[in-house]
Amino acid sequence: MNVNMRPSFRGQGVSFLTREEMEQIHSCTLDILNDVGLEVQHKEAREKLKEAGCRVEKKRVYFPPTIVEWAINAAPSRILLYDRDGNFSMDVSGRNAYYGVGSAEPNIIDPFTGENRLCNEEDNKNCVKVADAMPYIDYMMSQCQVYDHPKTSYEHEYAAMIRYSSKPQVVITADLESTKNVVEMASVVRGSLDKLVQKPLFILYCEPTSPFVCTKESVEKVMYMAETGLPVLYAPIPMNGATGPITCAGSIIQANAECLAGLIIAEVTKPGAPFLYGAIITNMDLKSLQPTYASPETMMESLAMSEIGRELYRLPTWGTAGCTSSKLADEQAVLEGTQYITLAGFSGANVIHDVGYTQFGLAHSNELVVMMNDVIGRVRRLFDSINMSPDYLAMDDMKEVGPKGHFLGQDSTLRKNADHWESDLEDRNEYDRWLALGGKTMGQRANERVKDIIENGKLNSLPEELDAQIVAILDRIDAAEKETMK
Amino acid sequence: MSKLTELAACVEAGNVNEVVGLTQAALDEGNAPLDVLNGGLVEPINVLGEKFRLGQIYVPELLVASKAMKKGVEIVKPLLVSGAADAAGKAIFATVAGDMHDIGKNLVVLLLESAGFEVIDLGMDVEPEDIVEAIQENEDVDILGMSAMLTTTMYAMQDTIEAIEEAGLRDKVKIMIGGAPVNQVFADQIGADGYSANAPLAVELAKKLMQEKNK
Repeated sequence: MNVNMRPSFRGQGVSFLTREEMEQIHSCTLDILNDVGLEVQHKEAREKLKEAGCRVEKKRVYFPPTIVEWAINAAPSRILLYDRDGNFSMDVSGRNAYYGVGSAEPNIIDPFTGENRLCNEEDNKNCVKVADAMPYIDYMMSQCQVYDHPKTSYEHEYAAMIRYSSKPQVVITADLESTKNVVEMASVVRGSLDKLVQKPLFILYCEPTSPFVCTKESVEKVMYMAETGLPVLYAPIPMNGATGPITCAGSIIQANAECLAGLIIAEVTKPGAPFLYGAIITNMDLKSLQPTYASPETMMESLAMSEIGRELYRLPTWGTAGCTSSKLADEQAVLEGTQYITLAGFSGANVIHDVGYTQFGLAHSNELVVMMNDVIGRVRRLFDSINMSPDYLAMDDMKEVGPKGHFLGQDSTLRKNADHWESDLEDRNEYDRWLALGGKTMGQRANERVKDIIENGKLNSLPEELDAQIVAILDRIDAAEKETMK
Repeated sequence: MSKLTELAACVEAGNVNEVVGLTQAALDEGNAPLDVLNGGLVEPINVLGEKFRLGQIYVPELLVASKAMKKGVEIVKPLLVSGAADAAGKAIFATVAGDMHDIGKNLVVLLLESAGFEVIDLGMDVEPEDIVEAIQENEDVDILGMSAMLTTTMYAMQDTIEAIEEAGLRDKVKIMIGGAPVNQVFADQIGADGYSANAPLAVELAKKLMQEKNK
């Protein structure tokens, strides 16, 4: 891997909707928000929404167009994220594409035995270690549900991220209390809550339940983050044919309505609240009854959402890629993961998650993370596009070499070879050398890399004093958990 | 083609609008109500259920056909001698407290109904005491099905089973569970009678539990 290469974060050229089509989606969404509305299972939120001008009937809230468009304009067009050490890390805006792992899978494909089994605390730590070692994974996200701690799994997931990686994060929490626990841990590392608000370390992941329900827990979390001034996302996951209409356009309209309801709740709570817009729309396979997660339809729908967010609403956007419905990190996984990572990057989604998500989210594969890291590296190189500056036209070289010569000894070849993408996972050897090296497939090499990182890699640990504080918070949470489990 | 064969074909094709007329026509042709029920309405659903299990058809085909079947059953049922068309079993289903993810549970309910079960669906986010109450209110219930999609809510299944035990109702119902974070180990741990990984398997499981219960 060429670490000197200037990283690029922007690509373009992939689009699934014209400007007119986006306007049409928006117009239909205003109808749905006004006529169908959503069930908002949170009393205080309903009161605030009513005050703002929404029509409220029992738990049902109807959102008039003026409030929808007011909220869209009230939210900032970018979110800046800073790493664990307080250094600027991600400019979540425009077409900047960042990739992260995720998210909260109950099982893991054991890299040492190949077994598909429940995750434990050790896996949680190892997955962070592997993802932290990947140069093209820009941020962390909860990966393994920690079965040893059923009630406080999310706090344990978070503690591993902040203890063993310096990358910024997207965080999943169970409820308001666990959100506050996570904010407390992040504040300890930043120095204070004020400093965390000034330099956010993570975006909180929340979701409505499709179709058309804003659950109490999700609303509580959105309101808390908005009040605190920390960024939040509210990503619906309608499944075409099951929890959303079967058509792509229909589910986009529904998802847009559900996501905007979250945005409105955030902005009504505190105007200017930072909000990440987007959705995961995935058709259910109507034979197996499982979400497909990386079907062509899934990619079009979910990426069309980020397009709408950026082009029409000027909001920072959520994205998905690097995931698969395959049962392990096989050819299907690489095919689905690669296509999605490439399209997501070029469509300009900002915070693209779920790299390593296998079995439509039921299992985590570290091997897939390692291989997708390579794909992201390639995509970044593609973002560079063709350099057309004068010395890159190589006019002098061609004049110098002329017919029958070669370019191997040119000074420019020596210098500019460093521009070219290179991977230490891909194999470019001739056959005999490849065979001498063991004749391994890419999957086998990825597995070896994973095991090597787990066994020999150095943990990217927090300074001892801060680490002790995080452990103390975790101990307190665990003690409370034991109380409730009695 | 006899009207009975025509009715079966109509149910299998999911032609909801034609079922009522054809059911009546099959009865007018002189077929016994029980034969119309079994041959004209239930049999095509069994055929589709098997095709679905084998991955030959999509779930909406089965669901729309079930809708058609129900229309016909409404006409035939009053004509039957009581006891002639008993349900395959009676079940209560719920997504447990704290959990708003019920699409999987809904699919199981729909498939069970297609398989001839009578199902009371309590919906999502159902507290243990509400489930206990539902069992108390339904003397003839055979099965309780619970689902959860989150690791943080799956323990509500355990709480519910404990509440059922405390109410002295544990022997009344067979309990089956399902959902993304749970497995057979968890089912055994909390004292459930069965676990299934997906909706078609849940139907098999429910049938198996009925056999155990009727022993």
